[in-house]
This record gives sequence, structure tokens and C-alpha cells, in this order.
Amino acid sequence: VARSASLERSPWLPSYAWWAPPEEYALTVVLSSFHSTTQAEGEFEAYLRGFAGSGQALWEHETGPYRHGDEVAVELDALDLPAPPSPSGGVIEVHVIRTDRAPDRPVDCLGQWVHAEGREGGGYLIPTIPIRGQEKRVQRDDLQVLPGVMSDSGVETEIVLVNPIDVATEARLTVSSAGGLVLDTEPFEIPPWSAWRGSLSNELPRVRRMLAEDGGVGSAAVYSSHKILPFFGFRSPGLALTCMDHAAPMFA
Amino acid sequence: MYMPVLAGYGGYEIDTRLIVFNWEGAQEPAGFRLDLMRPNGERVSASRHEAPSGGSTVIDMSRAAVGQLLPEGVGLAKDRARPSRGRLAPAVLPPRDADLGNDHAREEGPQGPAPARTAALPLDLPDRALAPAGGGLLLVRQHPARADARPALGLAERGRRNGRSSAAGDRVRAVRARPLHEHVDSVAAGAKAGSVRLDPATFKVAGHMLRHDPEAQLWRVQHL
Repeated sequence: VARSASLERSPWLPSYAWWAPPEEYALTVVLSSFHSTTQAEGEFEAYLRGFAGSGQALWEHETGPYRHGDEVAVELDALDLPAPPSPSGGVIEVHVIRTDRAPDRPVDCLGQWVHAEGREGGGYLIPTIPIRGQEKRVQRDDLQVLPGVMSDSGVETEIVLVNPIDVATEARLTVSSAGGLVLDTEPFEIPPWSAWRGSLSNELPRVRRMLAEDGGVGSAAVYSSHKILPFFGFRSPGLALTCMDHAAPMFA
Repeated sequence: MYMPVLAGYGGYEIDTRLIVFNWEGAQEPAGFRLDLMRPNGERVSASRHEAPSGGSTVIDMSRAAVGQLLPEGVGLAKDRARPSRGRLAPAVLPPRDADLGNDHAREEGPQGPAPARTAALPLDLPDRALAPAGGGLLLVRQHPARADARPALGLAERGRRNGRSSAAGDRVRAVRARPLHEHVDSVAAGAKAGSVRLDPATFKVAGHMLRHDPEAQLWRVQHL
């Protein structure tokens, strides 16, 4: 999908989230002008794109202009979009541009929200996250933590790693028990513009045994060769993934 | 850092564990104080904990552990000394036939409430329809206290000892829970979707959204 040069050069940068498999979730991108500014003169346009395996978008959707005070909810089901080819899903780009003014900084990002309703229950609400232009100061880009993961017969932690850049990214997961026992995955690769999805017990078959002494609870860390966007959620047997949230960087 | 504690909220079988992850950084335990508050801001317990280097501390905030302290079945935990590394986050543990939620702690403002200003970004909570009679919003709100309030006097005294301005007496934090469905009929009916906004945005607010579907025993607890 070709884009205008002005859009590519905009100082308002896009943010990203998981394009969850549409057979599992109905996704709605929530574009809240209140979340972007308190200035009544604020005017916006938003461009949504879906990626799965390459920097060539599979689809693009323009919202048209909207103003401060408007709330725009884009239900992807209503757009007749192709599904991401991978069962792990893909990457949603949410590019909100403020058309009445430039950012105060050289570049900026207007993060929004993706709301997911599980087709069979469950669901989550996650923020979209920029890969560039974020104002948060972090100590390092290659490590993010997932405090409070669970893995036992009743609850499993699922992890989604979104790689919204043009190069493959190597990642590995580390799970730590309360007492400090550690299990590591082997490094694995996430292709460009792709999402990786796995569960703790699938990736680390001994994790349940390791966490058993602590009630199935521990914490995890994600190491990556480039910055990625990790999300994690929980699933009980027979129920849908729910309450997905984003990992936490090490703030400076 | 604030986080909600659910311990029998609404009469349901809901408990909370809080988890502190001390990863990377100095190879030493990370100590912190944890306060537990009722929704009205009353502190009902304070305890000290340590998260071992490379590990996690799991703190029991179940009905059995803190239910007597939280007659409303809900409260807030406040990490009074942020670890040099790691984050504080609770896992909300459901009965085995229920679904579950998770939540991150929210960081408080570094200096208490900001002065009133009209250009502040309002709290905004985009969402779809909340479950009938189950949607709620738990707000941790920092607000000025009366000058003669005990916490204010304590802070002022501490400020004097530390050579800081007595203006710190204005910076008492407190907690308010606002069950959204009790204030907005259409939310209680599950008929409205949209955003929640606090106006004017006078105070820095750390908030959490609690959603509960009583039929499915599905809890969702997420930060704003």
C-alpha cells in the first residue's frame, strides 16, 4: 500500500500493537482525542496498517479528520481485512497525526489503545507503543521485565513479542522463581514486522516444576537484540487469554 | 507505586498476591515498605519486605491474610520505597473455575499533587461497554489535605527535619474509590462505551479499572 511522502516524513510517529488472530479476537482500535491533548483546537487524522512478515502493509485504513472531543473506534471486523497469515498474528500500526500543529519536540507519538474482545470470552485492552520517538528514558533497550508470571495446571502465562522493524530480532526469555532459580530459552528469531507468540510451559518445559514451590508464581524477563514490544497475558484451561498487558522497561 | 488489592470484593472469591521482581542492577536484596490502605485512605497496615536479587517476593494479600483489614473487600497497596530495580505488580488470583486478571502498579507523582492547571492531560480511559453492574474505577488520587490533618502535620514536621519547605504539608496523598457504575446509570446497564475523563485535571491520578462479569466470574483489572 503506497503512502504519501508527507505521511512518511511526518514528525508525528506511529505506534504499534499486536494484530491478534481475528478468529480469536475482535479488535477495536480506540482513537481518543482526549488522550492526545486538552487543546480544543486539536485536529487529527489516523492511519491504521496491518503487517505480517514484511514492511509491505497488507492493508491500510484512513479514519479521515477528527477533532478534539471526538472519539473514534475502528472495529477491524467491519473493514473486511485479510487475516494475518501466521497463527501468531501480526503487527498493527496506529499512526495518529495532529494536523493543526507540529510536536513540541522534533518528533512525538500519540499512543492510543487496542481493545480486544475474545470470540469465546476474555479479552484485553492494551496501549499502542512507539518504537521510535518515545519520551520515556530507559536504562537499556534490550531488556524488559514481566513481573508476576504464572505457570501451573490452572493458569498459564502467554507472551506475545511484536517486532515492528525491518530487520529480524533475536530474543530469549528468562523466567525466575521467587527464590531466584532461573530457566532460559535458547535465543530465537522474530522475523521483521512479525509477532511471536508462546506460552511459558511450551517454551520452558520445566518451568512449572521450578515455580511449583512458590505457588506457580515467578517473574520473567525478555532480552532482545533490538527493542521489541512484549505483551503478556494469562489463560486458564479452556478459557480465553485475558488481561494482556505490556512488559516494563528498566526506567532510568 | 500503587496497586489495587482485591480480597473478597463484592463477596466474591477473589484474592490478591503482590509480586516484586528484583532483576538486574545491584546484586543485593531490594528492600521496601508496603502500606495497605482502605479505599477511604486509612492506612491499616505497614510492613517491610525484601525482594532477593534475581528473584521475586510474593506477598499474600488474600482474604485470609488481609480480609479483616479491608471490610470493603478492596483496598490499595502502596510501595513506599521503590526498589532500585524491578517493579511491583500484583497477580489477581481467581477461583480455579474463573478467569483472572493482572495489573501493574502505577507510579505516583514525584512531588505529590501538581498545582491546578487547565492544560494538563486529563485522565482518559478508552474502553467499551462495562459489564452490567460490574464496571468500576478505582482511583488513587493525590489531593491536598487540611492543614490540621495528622498526616499533613507529620509531613510538615518531617519536612522541617529534612530542611524542606513546610509547603510539603499540602502534599498528603489519599485514596478514593469510585465505582463508576454507581455514578453513571448507562454504565451500570452496560449500555455505554467510551472514555472516562476527569475534569478538571487538577491532580495527578494513578488509576485502575476493575471489570467484573459476575456470570462468567471474569475479572479484569488493568491500570489506566
